[in-house]
Amino acid sequence: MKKNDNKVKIDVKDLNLWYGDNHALHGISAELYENKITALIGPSGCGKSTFLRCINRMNDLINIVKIDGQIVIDKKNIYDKDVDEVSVRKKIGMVFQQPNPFPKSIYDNVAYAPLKHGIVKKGKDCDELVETSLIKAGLWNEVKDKLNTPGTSLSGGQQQRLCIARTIAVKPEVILMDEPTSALDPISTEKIEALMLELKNDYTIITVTHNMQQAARVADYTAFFHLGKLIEYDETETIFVNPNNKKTEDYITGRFG
Amino acid sequence: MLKTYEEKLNNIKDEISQLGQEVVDALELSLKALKNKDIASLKDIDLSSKKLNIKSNEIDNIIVTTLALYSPEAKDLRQLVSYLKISNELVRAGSNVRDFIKMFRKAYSDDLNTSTILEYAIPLQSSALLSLQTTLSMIDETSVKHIEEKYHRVIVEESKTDDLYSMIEKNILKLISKNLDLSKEYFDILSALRRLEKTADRAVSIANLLQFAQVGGEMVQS
Repeated sequence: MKKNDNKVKIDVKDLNLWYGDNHALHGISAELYENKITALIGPSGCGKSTFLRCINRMNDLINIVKIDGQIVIDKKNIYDKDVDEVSVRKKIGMVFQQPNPFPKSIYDNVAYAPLKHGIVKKGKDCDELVETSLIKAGLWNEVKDKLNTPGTSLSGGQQQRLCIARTIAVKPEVILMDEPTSALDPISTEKIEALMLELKNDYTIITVTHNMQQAARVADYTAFFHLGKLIEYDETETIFVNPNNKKTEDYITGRFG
Repeated sequence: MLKTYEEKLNNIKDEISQLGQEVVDALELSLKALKNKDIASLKDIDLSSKKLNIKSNEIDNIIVTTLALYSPEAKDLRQLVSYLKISNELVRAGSNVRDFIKMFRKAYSDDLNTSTILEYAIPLQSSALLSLQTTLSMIDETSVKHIEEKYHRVIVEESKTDDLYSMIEKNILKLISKNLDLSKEYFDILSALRRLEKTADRAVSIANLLQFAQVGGEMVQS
């Protein structure tokens, strides 16, 4: 990969993961950059979502998973014994494939975690945080007059932006997105993509996508995974115009996967 | 439309306009030289093929990247494919203008009937220039009505260059028949003027592509 002046936010060093006896990730090493969007692409079962979930230690929740290697964020390996996984997840937010708002009001969806983590207290500070988060998620103008209505009453695209607002509200540094638009229509998808481009000014974004055009449109860097290995990782332009590895080219051009 | 795509598209348009402007500037300067009967000043006009090619390659590479990253469709796709061809057309137009300047300066002398030559060369050059200027102004045009109007203006100017060239050809052949010793010089002048007529052809070709990009239909290149 070309040398660049980007600041490394997440440094993955020789990461291996096993589901029981199944070696699912093989020696992944990559530097993921601050304030950039990195897309993880590859055929189903290639390990991209598994890798994504390693970044906020979500795989710890599965008993049979064994991980070795390091994921260094701000000079600290998040897998060190003295690191608490809840603090990791606070720093590294996640948006899932299906919008999953809590069965609460729009306001409470955003305010719940910051209140729980003690980031704000009820009242003016909390109101301001809810407003700021909804503005950043591009949803404020659509919901400002109905903050007490259930989050589940919104459209799919709005619900996904509400989930993004909820993620932003705990002031993360990194946002992980696992196929954030796969359940959305093209208009909602475009809104989320435009939002991702705005959000990268403040956050580091890692997204898994099956939609290669989406990776091409929004990502600064793209990583191609195959059979648990990181085959190629480079600037998105290089991956989509002049990939260095034949497997990447074959996947991009639809010859397999 | 994603902001990043819009920025890429605007960048491509700007680069194409700049490429076209270099050709227009050279044509304007050469027209001024002919109007002032200052043919020697043609040598000061800097229109390098190498520079035009480098610029055109840069544009083409941006277009290839944009096609790969944004998978445009419909009007967006038509625009990018047209721009890819237009950059090449502008290099060809630039090459014609450069050849005209070089050949005309070399062949022109006071031994020739300069008043007859300039009587037709200047309007021919004006029409070639106007056709190219009008074509370039279509790049930022979004109104279909205005695009159609400009397209027809380009066609009219190109048609004028055809007529003017035919007229000067006839007149120069008469001059050659009266003075065979200068036939080479006269043929070289004709050859130079032919480049102006070809420049207008390129302008029509670009106008066709821009009309295809904005209005749709089938891609036509003359």
